[in-house]
Amino acid sequence: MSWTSGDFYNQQYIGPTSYELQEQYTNGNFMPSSFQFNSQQFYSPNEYLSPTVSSTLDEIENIEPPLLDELGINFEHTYKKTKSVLNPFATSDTSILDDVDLAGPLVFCLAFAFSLLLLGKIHFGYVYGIVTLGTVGMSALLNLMASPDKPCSCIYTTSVLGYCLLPMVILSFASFVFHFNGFFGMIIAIIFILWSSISASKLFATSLAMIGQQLLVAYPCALFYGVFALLTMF
Amino acid sequence: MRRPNHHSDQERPVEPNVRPNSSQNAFFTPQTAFYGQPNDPALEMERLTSNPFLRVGMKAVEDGMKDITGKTFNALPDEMKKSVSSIRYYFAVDQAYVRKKLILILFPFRSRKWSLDYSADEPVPPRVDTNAPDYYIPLMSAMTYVLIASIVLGTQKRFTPEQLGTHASSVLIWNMIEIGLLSLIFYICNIHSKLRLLDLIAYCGYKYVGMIVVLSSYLITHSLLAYYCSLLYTGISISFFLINCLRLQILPDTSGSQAYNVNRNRRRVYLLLLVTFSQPVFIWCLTRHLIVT
Repeated sequence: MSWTSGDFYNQQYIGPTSYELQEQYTNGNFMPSSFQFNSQQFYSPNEYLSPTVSSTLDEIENIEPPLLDELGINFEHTYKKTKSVLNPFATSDTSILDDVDLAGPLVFCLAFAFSLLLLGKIHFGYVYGIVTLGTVGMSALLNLMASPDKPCSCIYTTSVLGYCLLPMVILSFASFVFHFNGFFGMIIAIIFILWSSISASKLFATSLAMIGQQLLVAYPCALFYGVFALLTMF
Repeated sequence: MRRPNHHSDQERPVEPNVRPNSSQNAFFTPQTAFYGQPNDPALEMERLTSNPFLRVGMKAVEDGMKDITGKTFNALPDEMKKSVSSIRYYFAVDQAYVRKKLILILFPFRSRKWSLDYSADEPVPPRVDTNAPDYYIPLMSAMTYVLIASIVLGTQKRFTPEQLGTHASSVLIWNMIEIGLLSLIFYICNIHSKLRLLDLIAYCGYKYVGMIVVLSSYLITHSLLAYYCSLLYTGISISFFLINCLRLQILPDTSGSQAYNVNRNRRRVYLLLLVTFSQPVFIWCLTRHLIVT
């Protein structure tokens, strides 16, 4: 093939049209008929899909786990964790928190951002940025404050903080209905912030064994949720 | 799609990999490249496990991942581990310490003992000694300052979420400028003191507590008089607190010969006063744009 510019730009299309191609390829052939000279020499799909290969494919299909298991979504655990957030003063079974899942937090964050849409504020980017920075900062703080033999991963912090975001979601949906303004609105917001941060700090303090530091953990959580309340109210 | 030239028929490349149950020399054309090879899981697994390089690589990734998902700390180099341990000292706080320290910052006039406790040449962690510096209070008060500044702006209907980022960056940058300038002055004046850089960062961070008090009083009362009164009181208390804390760190021990280095002694005093009185100035600078007359 020559690469002089004349040849390059002057070549005509002399291959098969798209209709002809469709005809050829519907039979399961991966090559147009003009190239199927000799199956000994050339690649041919019928030879390739031999019986043994296809039965292996069937077996692999049968032993695949169900979709929810693969994604790590366990609706029962999600429901239990949500219930334990909604009632922070009741002792809950903290062993369910061991499987960290991000599905619940993701739903809550999206619900929060969606409720801001109802208020006329398109702040998806800000919610995402605050969640990211807040969880990274919070996990760094927890790793520094707790004893070194109990490390705390970022994903665990994201999971806990995301689940405890539920009261803030309730607040933002309620503020769409009730229009919290002024002093009364601030009191309501503070109550919800305290609710969220008490649940979050209870979960952190029990799982990381921080004695005498629960209020110290609750305060950064309160700041984190306070930013969400700020986005809702102003 | 262009038809290739006829004379290149013999030069078509041959697929080198051997495929099971199919022809020996599989033909590799532009068509197969376009439509791709059908995925054969058995073949790919065999390729992965039989290739020794891939096996080594996957084992390395697995070990690395174990470090990350398990204890990240062990994967760090030694120098970083040492600095993380030294920073961990400043976060060893508990609720009683924080309460006492906050009361000390806002009302330091009654305390009599300002010296740090030592145990085996190392300063004792803040959990035990109220006079030890820490990083929890400066960090939390800086973030609270950002939040309260946003609330003040919100009540004035001037709030956008970008203001959060603006205030946080200004806090960070002003802190860095202040610490940088102070370290430079320490270095230029050739003053060697017991004060470490990490301690200086902690002491310079206590002014945010004053900033929070000032802004809260303005937020609650919306009056300039309350703002200026709280600014005055906070300035006095922070200066008193810092003079007493840093006096023992920067000024030399009285047991040494005093007349020996009069100039150096005077420089230390000036430096101490500079550190102390720059704090109220910072409080005023970082809050005045929030006040609407």
